[in-house]
Amino acid sequence: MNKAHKRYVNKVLRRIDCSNSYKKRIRNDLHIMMEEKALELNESDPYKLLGEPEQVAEEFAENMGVNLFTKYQYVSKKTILGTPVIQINNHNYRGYEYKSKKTIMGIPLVHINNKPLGVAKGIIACGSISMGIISLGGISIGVISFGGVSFALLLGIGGAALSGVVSIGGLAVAGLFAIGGAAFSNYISIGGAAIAKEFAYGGYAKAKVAIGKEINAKVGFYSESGKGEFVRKIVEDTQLMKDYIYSKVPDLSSFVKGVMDKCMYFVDSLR
Amino acid sequence: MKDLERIKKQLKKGTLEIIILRLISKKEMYGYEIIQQLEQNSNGFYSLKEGSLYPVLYRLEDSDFIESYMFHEEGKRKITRKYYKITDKGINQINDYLKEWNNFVFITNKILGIEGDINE
Repeated sequence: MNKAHKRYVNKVLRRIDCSNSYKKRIRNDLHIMMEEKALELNESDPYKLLGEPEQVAEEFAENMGVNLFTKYQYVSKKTILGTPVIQINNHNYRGYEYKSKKTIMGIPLVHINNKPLGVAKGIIACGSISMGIISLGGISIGVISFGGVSFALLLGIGGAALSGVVSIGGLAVAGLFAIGGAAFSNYISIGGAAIAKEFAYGGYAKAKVAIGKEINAKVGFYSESGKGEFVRKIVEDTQLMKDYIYSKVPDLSSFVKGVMDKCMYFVDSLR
Repeated sequence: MKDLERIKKQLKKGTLEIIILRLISKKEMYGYEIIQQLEQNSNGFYSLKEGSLYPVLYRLEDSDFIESYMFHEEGKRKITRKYYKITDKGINQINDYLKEWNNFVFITNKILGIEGDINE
């Protein structure tokens, strides 16, 4: 199927407030019509074949008795670098919603809802507020979540991310592993400010074992200042630092050792 | 002039369903063919766009007056066409529509004081 035709039809459908089954019919019919006209008129440009998508959508909406979604109430014809000089948002624009027919235990496989404060609930959910196994949204809640603010059971990624296992974000709070501007975790944290129980690495690092510019730890290495029982200034030889840490904390888990090994590659940046 | 356009639009809209069902009752047709036939037979008076045609076809199909099927044409023009054909329910409906239309035209003309050919 022609990509330009596909994009054109999507532009039409985006503006018509009707059920998915109707959208499917319109999509098929417009494709068939374009194919037919293209062959007859020897022209492939969808705009020349059917006209402006806004007008096509308007006519469909009017004749089907459904709402027309227009993002802007007014758009000036005069443009600067392709951008209209005046553009007034339409407050009636209600955004877009898609729910897949396929469900698992009554939950839609995919639910997209980008209406203002619209809630998307699905196995894969995407929306202003989203809840799902895989969840993407302004505020997202899920097993794996991505969003402005994300709450996750396993993995949360976002401006602010809170997760039971791994969080990555501006503010990252996690049960196991947090990476972020400010990272707080029960086990390992890496970030601008990293606070954890077991291991922390960052500008400011606080944990049992810490490596950073400033640290507060039982054992650790710092480049500027350090507080703690066995804290030392960072040295050239990373193996020496590791051996020192292992000697002071022999029960360090292999996972922490692994993460610490990787962090050692970046120790130079702390100097 | 604006009012005349509005009335014309309304009249066209009101009759489109009958006209399209009538066309399909005579012959199985595909979408573009309906548009072309209407335009030719009305000397451009019924110049339909997709946004007007398909909603009517959807209503007729949903009411079981017509049904559609896909036909893939082989040969030079390898394209898929969606043909519409009238159902038994549709045949009864078009007969009712035509009776109603005759009645409507007769009564409306009578009220308007028009008898016989409108051009007389």
